[in-house]
Amino acid sequence: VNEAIKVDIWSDIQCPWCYIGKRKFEAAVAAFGGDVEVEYHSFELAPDTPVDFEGTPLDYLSERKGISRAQAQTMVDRVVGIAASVGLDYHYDTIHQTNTVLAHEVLHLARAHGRQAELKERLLAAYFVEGRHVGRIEDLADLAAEVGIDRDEAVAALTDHRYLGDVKADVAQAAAYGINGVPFFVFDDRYGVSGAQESSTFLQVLEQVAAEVEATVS
Amino acid sequence: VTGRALKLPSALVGLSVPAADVCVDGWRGPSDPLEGDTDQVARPGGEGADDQPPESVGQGRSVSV
Repeated sequence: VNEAIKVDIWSDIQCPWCYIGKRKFEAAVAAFGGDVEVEYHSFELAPDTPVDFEGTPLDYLSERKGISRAQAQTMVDRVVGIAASVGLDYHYDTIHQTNTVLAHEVLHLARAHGRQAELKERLLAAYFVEGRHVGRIEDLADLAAEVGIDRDEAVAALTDHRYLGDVKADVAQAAAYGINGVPFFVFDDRYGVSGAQESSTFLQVLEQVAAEVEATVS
Repeated sequence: VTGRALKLPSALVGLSVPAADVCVDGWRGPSDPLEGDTDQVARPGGEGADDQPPESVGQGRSVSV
């Protein structure tokens, strides 16, 4: 296939399955061999979360879902184990639960500079692995600068919410598609796949779509 | 790949793939012991599980891979 397969991915920075799904998808792309063009889209799992949530992720989970801290710990233990199986070292003891709308805004700025993939990975690692705060302008500008985006421009764009409209457009598109959970993958503007699927599943979808594209072209 | 099909309201075609972990409000996955819910595919309009065959999914074609 000469033409790249477009994959649009809806996800949120503080979604543990999104990072795990990202790794599984990347493994599929590596095995696929053809060109794949990825664009990340915004999905706010908890837009009402304060920027500085008072409490731990366990507090957040138990409050949000109405479960005990022990039950929340069970959930965390499971996701940490699965993350480890794909090479991700989640540290839930240092996570800063926050509002992610600014993180989504800076990802749109990064896209405008052709650095979205780099910043997406940087933000996920910062949040899940390094315990960095990803909800404040100054912190996000630091992370953006790490992937080559002008820090002052990032501060300005986040201060005047230059990309908030793009975030909301993504959220609206997700609603139009009927997406209520992430990660969610749309292949070639046609095929929807939900969840952190196994790499083998992603690979089969890529091959299926590639075969269809090739048949259409020829 | 077999499994439950997506049910999408737009021009998207739902691929028949296994249910997989997703984050919803807060987050959870299909095999979380707390949830006991194996249907975590998109459910437009808040509808319940879709047990229809892939051919009846959404407004477009559906493809099993």
